[in-house]
Order: sequence, then structure tokens, then C-alpha cells
Amino acid sequence: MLIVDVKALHQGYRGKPVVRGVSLGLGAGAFGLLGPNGAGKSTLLRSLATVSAPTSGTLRLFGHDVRTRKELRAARRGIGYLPQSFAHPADFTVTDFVRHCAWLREVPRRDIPRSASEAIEQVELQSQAGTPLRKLSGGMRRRAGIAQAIAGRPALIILDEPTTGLDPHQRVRFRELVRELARDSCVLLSTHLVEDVAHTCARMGVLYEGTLRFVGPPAELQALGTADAPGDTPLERGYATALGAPPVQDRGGAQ
Amino acid sequence: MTGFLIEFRRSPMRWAALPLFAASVAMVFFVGGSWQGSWPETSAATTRAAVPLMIAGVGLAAQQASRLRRSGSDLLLAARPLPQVELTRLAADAAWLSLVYLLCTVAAWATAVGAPGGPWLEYPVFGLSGIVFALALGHVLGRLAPTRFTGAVAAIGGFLLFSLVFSTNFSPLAYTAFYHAIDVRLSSVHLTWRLVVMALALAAACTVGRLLETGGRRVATSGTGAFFSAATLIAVAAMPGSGSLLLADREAEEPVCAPGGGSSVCVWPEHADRLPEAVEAAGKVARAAEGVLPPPARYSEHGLGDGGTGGFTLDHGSRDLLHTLLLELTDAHKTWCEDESEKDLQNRVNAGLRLEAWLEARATRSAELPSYDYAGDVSWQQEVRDVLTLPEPRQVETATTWAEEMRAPC
Repeated sequence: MLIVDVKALHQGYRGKPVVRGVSLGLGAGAFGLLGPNGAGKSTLLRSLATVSAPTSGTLRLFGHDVRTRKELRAARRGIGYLPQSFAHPADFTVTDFVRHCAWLREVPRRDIPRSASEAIEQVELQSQAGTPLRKLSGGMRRRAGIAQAIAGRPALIILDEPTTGLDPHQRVRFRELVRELARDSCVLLSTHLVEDVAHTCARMGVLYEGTLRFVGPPAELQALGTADAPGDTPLERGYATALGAPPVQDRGGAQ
Repeated sequence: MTGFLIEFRRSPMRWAALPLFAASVAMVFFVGGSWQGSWPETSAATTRAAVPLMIAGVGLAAQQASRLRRSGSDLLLAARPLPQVELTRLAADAAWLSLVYLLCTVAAWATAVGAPGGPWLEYPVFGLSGIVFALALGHVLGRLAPTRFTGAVAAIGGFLLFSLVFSTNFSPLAYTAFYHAIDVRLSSVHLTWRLVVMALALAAACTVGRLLETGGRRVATSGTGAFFSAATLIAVAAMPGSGSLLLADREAEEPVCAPGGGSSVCVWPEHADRLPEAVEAAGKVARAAEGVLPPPARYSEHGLGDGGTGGFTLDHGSRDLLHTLLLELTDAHKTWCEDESEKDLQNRVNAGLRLEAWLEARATRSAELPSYDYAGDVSWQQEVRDVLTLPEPRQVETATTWAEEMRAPC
């Protein structure tokens, strides 16, 4: 069964159409969403995280049609979401923040302390567990955000620009973490940085002007690249070439 | 429970709890009249603790809700059941304020330990319902108008609202319930209505979060928030606000009685420790009326009897006790005629007034008449003063004449 099953999804933002007829099917594994600024990545991810309802099209998560309240709630229990930018009341400590988000996601009560500790450990914030969010650096806050999204190992982990503000060591560590999480969960991450997805994702998509221009493995994107396309690496040239390609419809499949 | 514990630990009320406790204790013990000694008065006095808690509750809840909205964490929480989140946050704040309120209540009740009877629990319920309402109100304000100053504005607004608009005991949302008399208690109708208003306000606070947003997912919640907000306003407007509904007559209980002045003197169980005071006063009245009027079979405290002037009172001092006992005595002997001429009626009334003034002066062993404000012609007072200077037998003789006039058949 597909974890994410999107068909002809349209989504507007402040009255303007942003996502225009995206179809996508995702199972367990890591999927990277690439695209330039304003391509509609965050809007699409907000839809998939059920924060905003699609203007049209269908969205099924874990088989749940999220248009009804009951199905929506059931689906949300399985979603961990890191928005592109978020702020939580700054007096939350890292531990309380992660526990609180796990509670919000209805992780079973007895599992919350262990899940939160594990997640904090995975983003290497143990030494800051008791520190209020306001005292953390931007990168640490980002890692706390990732921790809350992965606590309790949700079946669908949506990470919008997760590596923003992370130092090189943390980015490497993050890629390892995504690979580990992707064994059991569907990890959907968006980024501008081609290398972030190249090393972590079995499949990737390129979104441009609200439509998917490419869906497939990194090697396929790399092969797409033309010699005259801008970019320093074959993958970057493939990405640049994909931006000019016609829209594609993903049929969904294994990653 | 996890969410509640986290919210409870980080609630700003934890910093405010100690100063609020001090302010509430000060309100109970040092502001307003004296109340120590009886459970009913002590119970009513505890509602004063709600005053600072309600004002602070409005402000702090508004500030917290506003801060959360301004922080942008809604995006993170948006995928979760919002009413549950809001209710948990409010429950944590309410737990802190309720804790402070209950500690104040316990401190006040501690002074009444040993007094007959027990605490009147409807008063703490009254106070708690006000506190929770204030929190919900503040939360709604913070959600709807999230600015840096929302908390301060809400606290000032709350102060004006509660101290001006709902300042009297007859207002639907009175924030203190004063002790009235031993024979009345808070009306269950009023209390139920308050609890309904509180529940509606809570429901509004938990669902109003997205009232101003039109994002697809939250339309249903917005409608619910608007519904509960409107229902709260309607419930407040329609709330029984008259004094007669705020208070209700108390069911008469088995009184505590003792012989005094040739009568049986009966008081409410909560006043059992003041029975000797009433017995002594009844003795003074009986001695003053000796040879003029026989004592009644029974003197009953206000609300216990079903005849006379409604009973004597113990709540307003010894002079008032004596006066109300006297009225009980004379009233039992008064005759009221339906078709009496105005002149005859005035004579009868004046005879009663003379007798009562004379009896009170004698009972208090004073040559001065009580200084009550009487309407109309008060020339009869001079006559009483003159009588008080006469030898005892002549005084009794004159007073007996007044008593005869007062109770003359129609």
C-alpha cells in the first residue's frame, strides 16, 4: 500500500494557484523534492502534512481519504512534520518540546519519554535536552525541529528544508539519519541542495511552477543532464535540464 | 496527561502563583468586613479571593494565547486536534489558579475550625467558576487579537468588566458573593447558570482559535468557535441577574434551642455557639417586659420560624439582636384590623412604638431612647423619655396601657 497517494492535486496559497495537478505515489523510503524558490514545494508539503486542504484533487495517506475528520485524525497520527519555518514558545525545553509534539501526534503516553529521548539522541542534542529553545542556536533549533518530527517514528516524515542552518558535520549526520529512518518510514524532504538528496534518496522529484517535471532515481536525473545545462556536477545539470522539461505524472511505486 | 503536565510545568501562572496567593489572602483577610467565626460568613468571604485571580487570569491567559499565536507555532500544531491542545493549555492554567484559590479557601476555613456546622461548598464552586470563565475569556481575547499588549489590555479590561459592569451582587457575573443572612444560600439555579456560562466560554476558547482564518481545514472549527462564542454571549445576557435568583431561601433545619427568659430560644445549627448570647438577650427582654407582656413560647432566629417579624438576627451585633428580639415579643401581641380608621391605626402603631422604645431602653439599662430613624410624627418619643424618669410601678403601669392599646381588639 502506498503511504502517500496524490492524484491531480491542486493547491493555492493566498488565492493564487501554486501547486497545479501533482500526482505522486510514495511508499517507504526517502524521497527528495527539489525545486527553485517559489516552485511550490512548501505548499505541496503543507498539503501532504494535512495543514491545508487541497483546492482539488485527491490525497490519501496510509489509505485514509483525509477529507473526513475521522480519517484525517487517523492519518495525522502517522505524520511527523517539520515546517520550513516554525517557532514554538521559546520557554519550552528541548525535551518538553519534543514530548509535547509527540503528545500532539497522539503517540501512546507510555512511549513518549522513550521516543523523545531517542529522537533527541538521533539529532545529537542530548547535552541540550534541558535547555530552553530560546537559548539554542539556529542550527540547534532546526535539529530540535527534526527531533519532534521523527519522535515516535511516524510512518510519514515530512521535512521542509531540514538542513537549513546545519553545519557540515550535522548535514552528514542528518543524511545518515534519513537513510536510517527511510528503512521503515516514508521520508519526504524538500531542499534546494541537490547533494542533500543525491546521497540520501532513492527517488526524487523536481517541482517547477507547481508541476512535477521529473520523478525518478538520482541516476536517471543525472542522465537527463545535457552538456550545456548550468551546473557543476552531472546531477545539477540534470536538475537544470529537468526544470525545462514538460510536466510528468508519477504513477507511484517502490523506492 | 503528558500534555497537561508539560503545560502545567511551563504555565506562566507558576510565576504568578505566589504573588497572586498573597494578593488573594489579603483580599480575603484584610479587605471588606469582618467575617471570622461562622462557616457561612467564612465561606462567603472566600469568594473575595477570586477577585485578583480573575483579573490576573484574564490578562495572563490573553498574553499566553497571544504569544502562542504570534510565535507562529500554529503551523506546527496545525496538523493536530486544536481544541484538545487549547483545552489542555487552559486546564493547566486553571489548575494553577484553582490551586491558589483553594489554598486561600483552606486558609480562611482554618479560622472557622471548631465552629458549629461545616463549610458551604457552593461558594468555592462560585469562585472557581468565575476564575475559569475569566481564563477562557482571556484566552479568546488573546487568540482574536494577538498583539504584544493584549495581556495588559485584557487585564485592565477584565478589571473594569468585573469591578464596574459586574460589580454588584445582583450582576450575572458577580465575582464575589457577599454573605447576606443565615437563612439564604446561593441559588442552585444561579450556580448552574454560571457553570453553563463557564462551560460555554471554555468551549468557545477551545474552538475560536481559527475564527479569523479561512484556511480549508479549519472551516468546521471556525463555525464551532463562532457558535460557542455567540452562545456564551447569549447565556451571559440571559443569565438570571436579580438578587432573588442569586440567592435562595434556605430550607429550615432542625434548630438548636435553649430556654431563655421564659421562652425557648432557637438558632440555626451554624450559630449554636452563639446561642448563649441569644439566651442572655432573651433574658434581658423578658426582664424588661416583666409585668407588661408575657414572653412568647419560642424565639426563633431569622428564617427558622414562620411567624412574627421573621425572627431575630445574630449577624448584626448585640444591639440588633436585642431589638429584633423585642420586635418578636411585641409582634406576637399586636392586633391588625382591616377596616380601622387611619387615626385609630396610627394610635395603635404609636402605642407599639412607645412600648418598643421603652422596652429597649430598659433592656439596655439606658435612659436614652434608641436612635432609630422613624418616619412621620415622632413627638411620642418625648412621652417615652418622660415615662423613663418615673418610678418603676408608674412606668409599668403606663407601658401596660400602651400594650393594651397596641393589642386592643378591632
